Amino acid sequence: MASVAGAAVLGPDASPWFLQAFTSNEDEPLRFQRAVHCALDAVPPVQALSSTAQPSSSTPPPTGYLGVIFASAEDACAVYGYVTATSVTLMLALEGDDDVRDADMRAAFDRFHAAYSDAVANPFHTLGQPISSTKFVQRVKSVCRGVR
Amino acid sequence: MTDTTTTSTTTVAAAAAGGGAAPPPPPPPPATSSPVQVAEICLDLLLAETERHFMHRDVQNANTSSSDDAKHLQAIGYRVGYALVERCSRGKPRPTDKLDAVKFVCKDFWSAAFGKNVDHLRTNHRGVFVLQDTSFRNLRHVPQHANNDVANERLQIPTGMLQGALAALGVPPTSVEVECNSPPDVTFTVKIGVAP
Amino acid sequence: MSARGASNAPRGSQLPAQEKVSNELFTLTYGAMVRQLLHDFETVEEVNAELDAMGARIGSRLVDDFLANAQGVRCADFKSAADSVARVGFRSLLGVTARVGAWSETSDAGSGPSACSIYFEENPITDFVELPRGLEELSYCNVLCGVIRGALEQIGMHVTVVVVKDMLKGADGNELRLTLKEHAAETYPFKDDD
Repeated sequence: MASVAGAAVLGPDASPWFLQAFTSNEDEPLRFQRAVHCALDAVPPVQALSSTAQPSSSTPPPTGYLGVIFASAEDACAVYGYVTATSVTLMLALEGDDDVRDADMRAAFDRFHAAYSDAVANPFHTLGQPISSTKFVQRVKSVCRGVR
Repeated sequence: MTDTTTTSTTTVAAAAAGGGAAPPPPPPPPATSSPVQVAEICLDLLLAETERHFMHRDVQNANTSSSDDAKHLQAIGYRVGYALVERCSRGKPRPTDKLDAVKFVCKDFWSAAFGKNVDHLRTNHRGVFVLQDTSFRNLRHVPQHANNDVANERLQIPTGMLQGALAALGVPPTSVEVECNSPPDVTFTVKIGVAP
Repeated sequence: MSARGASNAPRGSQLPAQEKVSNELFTLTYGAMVRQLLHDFETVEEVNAELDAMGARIGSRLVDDFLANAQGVRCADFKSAADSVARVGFRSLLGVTARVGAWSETSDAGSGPSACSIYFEENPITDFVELPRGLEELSYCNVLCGVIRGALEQIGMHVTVVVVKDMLKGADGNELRLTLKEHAAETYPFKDDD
């Protein structure tokens, strides 16, 4: 049985726009944040397209579903990643031993991404700032519940 | 202009296929918003009212210059462009370079924002991009020989939209200039990473 | 692919097919405009008033187009006008369904009811919107009140329109209350038939 321990949204500059742990255990949020930070290091840094005068190198930056980007045996958790075309990184941290089907994770990220793009469309959201929306939290929770 | 690149399905499709050995991208998720459509006249009148409010208030007030007013309209457009790109780029690969980002704007974004693709895209490959739309939707009701100010007013929100769209894609322009000599034919000159 | 397309006109509408745009673009534009108004004015009350005023100007321009394209839309009295707004206007212009009800008692002068409510659940201007704390007083949908007021004014009916229920504020539906203050249409020749 695997379950989602937390979800994160990181801006193009890796600043946290959303971090939410889904657990009742008091130690869990810390464990989750530690995993997210480790995962951050694992994600190739997103280089700004505008910083280079020349078109960027031959290897395109990763986009879309990245699969497991960080796994910790010690914490028994794995962080899955997804990068949008706008260089926003979405992460879901899973705990538990069972493998999750890739197709299920892709579907979960698609819903997560849709929820994110709706949150950005809220006229009262400040662009480039953390997302404070109860609607968004509810939708991300529902995404996480859908992962088994 | 040293080179000409015309947007076409082939160039953009080639960029989309650039993922290499990566598994095929999943189909784009279904839109979460309702598929509701509104009559175009509602958008036209909303834009006209917005322009009227922000361009023509406090005419006597010396503190607000018309460039301030234009900035307000551009700020409105910026948000629309930014949020719209976030939506119409779902399931699409991240642009690999500035040209790739501009091409995305010329096709997917332009069609979501203005109902069609950009007609011509030219670039000097050094950060200057010239986008021409020969029948720009937001100008279709502007008489061909209208006062320049009329077209200029209608182009402030689209200018902001273009800025917001490019910023969301990671290539915030240093300047966007718009030129319209014969509505609805319009030309946007976008500079990215070069002095305005 | 294209955001435009006359083929998507709602079926059963009494208006001919017309150009459409995605609601996404419309709702984003309205939201960004409201946000800018909040920057622009010092109080939320001023923003509410401006949204209503903008709506009224939109409504008065919309009604010409509406009547020019409408087939068999009746607006001779308040009842038929309110009915047309809810059943034809909302559907053909905003792409959503609205109902009209809660008619006031017919006055003894026999001139028909003078107040009613328009109900709708799907609201094309509030997609994605979540009112933040501190803006509870903002009447985000006031533009709709203005549009109805401006449109009916154009055909001689002075009405007040207020938001009674607002789903953005947790209501289970949206309700706008229309109250007829004055009807100048008696001067029109077509009203003298009977």
